[in-house]
Amino acid sequence: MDEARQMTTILPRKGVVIVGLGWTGSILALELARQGLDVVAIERGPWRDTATDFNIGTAADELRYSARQETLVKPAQETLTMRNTPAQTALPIRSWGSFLPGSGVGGSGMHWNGQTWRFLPNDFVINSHLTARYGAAALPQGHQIQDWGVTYDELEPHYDAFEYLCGISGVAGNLRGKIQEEGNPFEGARQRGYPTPPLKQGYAQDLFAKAAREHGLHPFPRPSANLSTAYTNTYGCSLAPCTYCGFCERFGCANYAKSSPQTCVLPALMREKTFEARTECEVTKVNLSADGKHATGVTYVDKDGVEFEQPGDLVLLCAYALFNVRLMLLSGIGKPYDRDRNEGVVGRNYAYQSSSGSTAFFESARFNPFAASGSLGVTADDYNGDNFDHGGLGFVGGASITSAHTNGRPISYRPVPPGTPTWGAAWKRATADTYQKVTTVNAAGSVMSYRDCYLDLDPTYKDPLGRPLLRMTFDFQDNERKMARWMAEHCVDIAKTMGAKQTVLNTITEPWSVVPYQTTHNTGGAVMGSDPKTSALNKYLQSWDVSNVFVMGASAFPQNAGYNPTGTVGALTYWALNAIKTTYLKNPGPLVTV
Amino acid sequence: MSVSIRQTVAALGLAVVALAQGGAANAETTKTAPIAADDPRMVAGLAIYTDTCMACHRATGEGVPNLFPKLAKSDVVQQKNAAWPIIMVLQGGRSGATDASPTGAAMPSLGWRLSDDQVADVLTYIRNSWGNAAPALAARDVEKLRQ
Repeated sequence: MDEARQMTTILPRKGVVIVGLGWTGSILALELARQGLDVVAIERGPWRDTATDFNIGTAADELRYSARQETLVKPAQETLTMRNTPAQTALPIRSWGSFLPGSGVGGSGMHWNGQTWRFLPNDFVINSHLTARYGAAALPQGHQIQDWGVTYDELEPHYDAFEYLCGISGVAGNLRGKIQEEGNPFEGARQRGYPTPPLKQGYAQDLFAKAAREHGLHPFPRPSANLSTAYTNTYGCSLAPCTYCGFCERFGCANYAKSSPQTCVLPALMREKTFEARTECEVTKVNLSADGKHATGVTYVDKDGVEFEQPGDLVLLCAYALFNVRLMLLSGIGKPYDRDRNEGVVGRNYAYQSSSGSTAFFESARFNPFAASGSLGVTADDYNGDNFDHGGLGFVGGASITSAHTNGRPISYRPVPPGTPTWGAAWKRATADTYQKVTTVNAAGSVMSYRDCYLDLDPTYKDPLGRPLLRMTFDFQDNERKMARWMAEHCVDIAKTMGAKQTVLNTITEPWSVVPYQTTHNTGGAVMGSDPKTSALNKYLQSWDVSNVFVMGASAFPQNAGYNPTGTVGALTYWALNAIKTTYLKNPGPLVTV
Repeated sequence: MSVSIRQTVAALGLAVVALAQGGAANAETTKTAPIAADDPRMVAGLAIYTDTCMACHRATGEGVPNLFPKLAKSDVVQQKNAAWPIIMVLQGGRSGATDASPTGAAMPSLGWRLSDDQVADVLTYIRNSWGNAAPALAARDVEKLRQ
C-alpha cells in the first residue's frame, strides 16, 4: 500500500452513491430514498437554499452573481481546454464565457432561465426520419447523427412528471392528438395540459405574435419554469407566482417562483431519513472492480483535501454534462472516443446550440425589458426540427424562433445601434435612448453531431488534483452555419413586420469562441442509443460497460435539438428512474443486451 | 401516551379558539378607523412596501398560499403590541414544515436595510391597509426592539 492509499478513509457502504446534487441527482435521491435505499449525494460546491442564500435584498446582485459568477464552478477548481479543430492545440478556458456551468447544490438548475421544452417526436428518430424523407445523401458531411434509442411516446409520461414537478406555465398545443388553437401545433401529443397557465407577455411579444401570424406562423407562449400562479407540486413543495423581476439566469430566485431543485425537490428530500448530502466534496474517480465491469463506489476529497472512499451498490453520475463525461474518462468507464480511428464512445458526439436572429430598433416603441422573466416569450416552431420541408435548402435541423425579454439588467443589458461608439458620452446617450426601443427576434437552433466535434482528456493541462482537464474540440459546421443564416433572415423579416426601423442580422460568421456568452446547452459525450459501438449508454441511461453506473443529463443527447435541454433532461431522469425502480433493483445487471 | 396527546390536541384547540375570539373580544387589537392613505407615514410606507414586501405579500396583502402569510385583515399584524411584526421585519423568520408541506418558507431579515423610521412606516402602512386598522408605530418602538 502506498502512502496516499493508507490515508484514504473507507466509509460504510451505501445503496446508492450520487455524484452531483442538481436536478437529476435530487430527483433520483428522493425517489430512491423513498424505496428504502441508503442514499448519499456528493456535491463539489456548497449547500444553497432559498431561505439562507437568496435574500430578496441581495439575490438580485448583478455584479456578484453575473459579472463575478459566484455560483459557477471556479475555473481554478475545474475548467476545460478548447480548440475548434482536431489539428489545433487546445488552451484552457480561464474565465467562463460562452457557457456557464453551475456548481453547488441545485447546480445549473438553480441559475437557469427556466425554459422547459419537450423535444419533437421526430427529434428522437432523426436519422431514420431524415434518411426516409430526404435520402442519406442529404445529411451533412462528416455527420454522426443518430436515433436516440428511445421514442417520444416512451418519454411522454416522464415529460409529464417533470412538468408537474416544476409546475410549468404554458398552454397545450396537442392534447391527446387534438390540436389546440393557443398552443404549439407541432408538439407531440400530451396526455394533459400544463399544470399552470402561461405567463403574461409584454408588448414586444404581442407585436411578434401578430407579425408571426401575418407570416403564416403559429406563435404560442413558451413553456416556463417561472410560474404564472402559485403551485404545490407532486412532493408537496410550494411555489409562488413570478414577479417578472428579470433576475433568473445566473441568479437564485428569492421568491420561490422559479422551479429548481431548491424549490421543487430539496425540501422533501432533506426530510428523508435515509438520505445524506455531503457538500464541498469532489468525486475524483468512480472505482471499478478488477475486471472493470462493476463499480465498487467512488473516491472523493473534502474541502480540506482529505480523501475518502465511499463504497456503493449503485453509482449515479448526475454532474453537469461535461463533467459526467470527464469523470467517465478519468474512471475508465466505457471506451474513450478516438476520432482518428472513429472508434470508442465516451466523448463522442459533443454538440451545442446555435444562436442567430435579429436585433430590432424601433422609432417610438416603449418596451419594458426590465419587466421580464427568464422564460417570458412567444415562440413559433414552424421552422424547428423537420416541421418544414428542407428540400433544396442545403441543411437539416431547425430552430425555435422567439421574441423574448429575459431581463433588462443595469450592467449587461446595454444594446445600442450599429455604429455607436463603444464608450464615452455618445455611448451613454445611445444607451439611454435605446434601452426601451430595442427588442430581438431570436432563433435557438439544433446542432448535429460530427466526427470532428468531441470531448477527450487534454494531454497537457491538469486540475489542482493532477487529473487531466477535459478537452473540447468544437466548431459550428457548414450545416449549422447555413441553418443559422436562413433562420436569421426569417427573424429579420418578422422584425420588419413588427415595425422595426432598423434591423441587424446576427448569425454565425466566425469560428466558435469561448467569448461572448452564447448558451449553457452543452450536450453529448456520453450518448444513449441502441448500439454499444456508437453509444456509451443504453436506452435507460445505463453504461453498456459498467451496469451499476447510470449517467444522467444532457450528456446523453446523441445530438442537440432546436430547444433548451432541461425539459428533456428531466424526462430522461424519470424514464431512467422508472427502469431502475421497476427492473434494475429487482435484478441488478444490464437492462439491455445486444 | 395516547391520552396525553389527546389532551395536548384539546389544549391546542382551545388556544386556537381563544386566539380567534381574542381578536374581536379583548383589547389586544384596537378597532379604529384606518390612518388616511395620504398621511406621510402611509405614503412612505407604501413606497417601502412596494420595494421590499410586495413581491411576496402581493399588492393586495393577500400573500401566497402555503408560502407567504396574508397580511390583509390579519389580527397578528393589527395587534396593539406590535413587537411580533417589528421583530419579524428586523430579523425575519421561518415557518415550520411537515412531510405534507415541506417547503418551510422563510422571510429574510430586513433590519440591515431598513432604518427604524422605515420599519415603523412600512408597518404603519400594513396595519392600515386592505381593511386593517391599528395605531401607527414610531421609530422608538422599533429602536428598543432592535437592540
